[in-house]
Amino acid sequence: MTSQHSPQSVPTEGSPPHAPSGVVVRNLNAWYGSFQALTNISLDIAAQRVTAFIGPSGCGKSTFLRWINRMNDTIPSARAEGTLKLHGDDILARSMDVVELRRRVGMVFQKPNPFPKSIYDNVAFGPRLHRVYSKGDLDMLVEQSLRQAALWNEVKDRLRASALSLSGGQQQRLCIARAIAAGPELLLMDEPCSALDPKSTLAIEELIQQLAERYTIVIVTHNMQQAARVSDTTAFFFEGQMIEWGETEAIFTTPTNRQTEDYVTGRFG
Amino acid sequence: MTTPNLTEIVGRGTLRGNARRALSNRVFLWFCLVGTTLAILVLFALLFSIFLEGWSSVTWNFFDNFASRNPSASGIKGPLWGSVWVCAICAISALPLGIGTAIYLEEFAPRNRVTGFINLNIMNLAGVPSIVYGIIGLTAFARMFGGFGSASDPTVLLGYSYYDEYESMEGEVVRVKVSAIDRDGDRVEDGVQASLARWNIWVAHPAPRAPLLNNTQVEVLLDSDDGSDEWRTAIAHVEGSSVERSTAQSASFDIVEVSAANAMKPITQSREDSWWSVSLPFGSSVLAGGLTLMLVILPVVIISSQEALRAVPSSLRQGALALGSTRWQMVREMTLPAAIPGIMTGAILAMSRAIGEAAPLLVLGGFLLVFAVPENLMSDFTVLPLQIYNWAGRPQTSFHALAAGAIIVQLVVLLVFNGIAVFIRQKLQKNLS
Amino acid sequence: MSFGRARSRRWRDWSERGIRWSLFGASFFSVFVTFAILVVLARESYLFFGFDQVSIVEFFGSTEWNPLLGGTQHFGVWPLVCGTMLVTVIAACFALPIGLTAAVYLSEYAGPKTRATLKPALEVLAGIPTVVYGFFALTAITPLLQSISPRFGNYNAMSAGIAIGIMILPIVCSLSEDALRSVPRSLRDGAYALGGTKFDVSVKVVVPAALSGIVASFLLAMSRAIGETMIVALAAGGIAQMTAEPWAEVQTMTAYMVQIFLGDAPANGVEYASSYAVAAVLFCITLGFTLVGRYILKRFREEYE
Repeated sequence: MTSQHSPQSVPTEGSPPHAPSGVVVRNLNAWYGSFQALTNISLDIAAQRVTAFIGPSGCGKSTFLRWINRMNDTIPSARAEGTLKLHGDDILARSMDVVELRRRVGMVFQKPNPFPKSIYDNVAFGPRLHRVYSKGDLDMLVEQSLRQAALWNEVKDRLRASALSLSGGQQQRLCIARAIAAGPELLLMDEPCSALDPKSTLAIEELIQQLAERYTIVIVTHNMQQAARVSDTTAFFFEGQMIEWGETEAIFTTPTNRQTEDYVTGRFG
Repeated sequence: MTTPNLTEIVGRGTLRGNARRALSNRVFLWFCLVGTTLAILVLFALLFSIFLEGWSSVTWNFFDNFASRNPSASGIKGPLWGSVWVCAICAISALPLGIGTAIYLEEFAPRNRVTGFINLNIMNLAGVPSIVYGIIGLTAFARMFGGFGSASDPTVLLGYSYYDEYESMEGEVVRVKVSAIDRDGDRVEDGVQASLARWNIWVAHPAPRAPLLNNTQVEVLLDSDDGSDEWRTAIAHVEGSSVERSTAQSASFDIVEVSAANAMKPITQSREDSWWSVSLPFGSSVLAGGLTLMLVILPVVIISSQEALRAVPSSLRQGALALGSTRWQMVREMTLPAAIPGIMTGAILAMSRAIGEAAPLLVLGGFLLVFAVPENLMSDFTVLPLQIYNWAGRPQTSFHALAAGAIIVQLVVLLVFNGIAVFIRQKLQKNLS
Repeated sequence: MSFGRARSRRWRDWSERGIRWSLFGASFFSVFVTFAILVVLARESYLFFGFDQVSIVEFFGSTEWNPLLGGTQHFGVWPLVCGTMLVTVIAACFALPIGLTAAVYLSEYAGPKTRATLKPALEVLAGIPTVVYGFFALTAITPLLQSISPRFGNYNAMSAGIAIGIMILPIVCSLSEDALRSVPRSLRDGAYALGGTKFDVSVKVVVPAALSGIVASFLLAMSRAIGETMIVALAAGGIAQMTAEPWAEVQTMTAYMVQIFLGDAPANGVEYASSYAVAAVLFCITLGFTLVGRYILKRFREEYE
């Protein structure tokens, strides 16, 4: 569907605020202090698709992900230039309200990071930050989020239990539920399975595929099989540059770039 | 399923205004800033008010005068030297004990219940109010549970020199060293008479207790022309009934004759102390004070040394052990050198706590007006914080100025200590990176 | 042919053993100190309760503390405990909010440079001898309070309480900051990623996550406040009374001990012995605070390690 430099994924005008959005990236450069972490990145992240970023450690894929919701703002030396547009809004603009941006762009981290609160309060945390809900609506929101994260059946009887009592895989699904409960247009996942056992990884991967029907998902992964399994589009990063991107199948079977080929065939990295 | 989809439910909530959230964020930042500023302001207000009040007191005489009823003639010579003595004793006793404990707990101790108990126990000791340590010091050191009599009449005396003093026919005074004096001062009647070339001096000596006859040290008080009296030492050599002379410092007097007749009673007995003289019980002495402060800072020294040792990477230890060194060799060659800056920093900060402690010493000895610099372990003493307490508690404001002056001195000392600690810490960080 | 003589293994083993045992002896000294504290306080308190004028029931039941008036002596410890608590509560009201907000500021808002200057300043504050705070209370805080309201006497609980508050402020601040900073970064990231403002992240995630550490820091600071001596001896006064009025003169447990040991109470009299009983009560209270504080702190550390 998506191919190199196709403008197809630019979000359509006038879509409702909670509809899944894509991201348009043009000539993005990013630095940590004087170290250039990203050089001239241009690509499109299509709405309601799963886009995977692959590449060896330190290639800049996580940095890129963390610019999409401006999490890098918490690092004092980090800065970026270029065009990064979410549904037509300039993410890097000074006028961009990062709080609003992060409400629209959810994120799931490498290691499950549930708050030391109850399961219910974890899921309700985001919604409560941004809106005032009636008790019934909030209950329903929590339930739906947990259902979509495929966790409801396991926790419905102990919503008031501490989130820390869940297993690692359950915790990560809770974090996904927490992220989607805020109603994001885009979901960022930073190696969401790297801290999990194979069984939990499988569960999360299935979940990602289900969620792709409703959300735009960007996933950073070390695991090429995982990228091949879950993503529609794949971008290969190397030393701060995006070497190649396109349909996942194409990247893995007929890469045009030599480095990409070496990487996906396991010759390095 | 008929439940509405997620985005629809999300939309049901009423949006919180972003402006309002930004405002609460800013208000909170200001709240925190005000809290922090208030803490810093209080520090400055405190330092400033004390500096203002005490600056005029800090003169050269302030360091060279003892405390006095007259504020303008008062100084901190006594407490300053008292602090030096007490802190020295405290450091000498607390640091080896504390660092040794830390080394044992971190490097030697098996991870068992006993070790856990000792660790817990040290944590609790760190939380004991210092005044309680004062009470323990009073009972265990100053009074020794009443087991050795009272401080004014100690049972055991160690490290003192005793003299009998006699008057010669010409009115000169001769001192004869004796090994001990009866507590009731009883004398045995038979003694030794010595007659010197220039004077006839009768030296009586209680025969059962000390052998005067040979190589006994005799001291003679000489009148100089400028009026200053001086003790000179002579050694008596006894040959039969006569004594050949031998002087330590000058030949201006000779011992010619010693006879066993005509014993005299000494006119006085005197006691002279060496710096290490000790009597049991200790009483309110610098020794008791220093040991009490040792109790106060011991847990602090242990805990900070433990932290310093824990910060040494275990790869160093394993490297040393792999080379076949024993535990102690490993500690001596690897762990301790690596941890010593951290241990020093902790030790200095602990000592700065000791310098500032007043409550335990207050309990130990009450406040003493001291008009002398401590000379030995049994000397009476006061310390700077106690002097500050004494002056601060008086109604006259002129004494308050003295208290403020003493506080300035105290704070400068503390600042120097902290400065050294920070210096060592920074040097340590440099070495590690 | 061999180079170098092998060190005697026997000598090495013996010296190793000797060092090990002497170090163990050093560490056992601290246990001995604890033992000495317990024995001294228990023995002397026992002697105190042996006096005719005293009974345990009165000590813990009566609200009258009147040890120095020959004929009508009363030994009910509550006025001293009450005075201590009044001063401590005032100190806590002053130090806990300011200390916590300063800790939140240092841990969540301040840049590395600000922190690098503010933390040493707090350390200096922590190193100041308490007698200096006592002097400050007497010569600066009390006159200030009197200028606000004439109800404040020359000695009052408020002044001593504020001074103790200033004294424990660095303890609260630095221990709370430690607790806040030991909350893993991933929790902050999670909250920011959900669109939290700094306020949301600090107040709704970091502070609740660090709550047990913060509570422990409060308890440890309170324990210091209860045991503080020089400030109350200078500024709080010497009347043992049950009151909750901050402008009233109160006597704390520690101030009473100072009064006895400074005065000329005979060493085998009942007044003198009473100070040991008061010390035992003080010891138990602070021990309780320390134990609970340490326990909570340990649980808190385990949670994030």
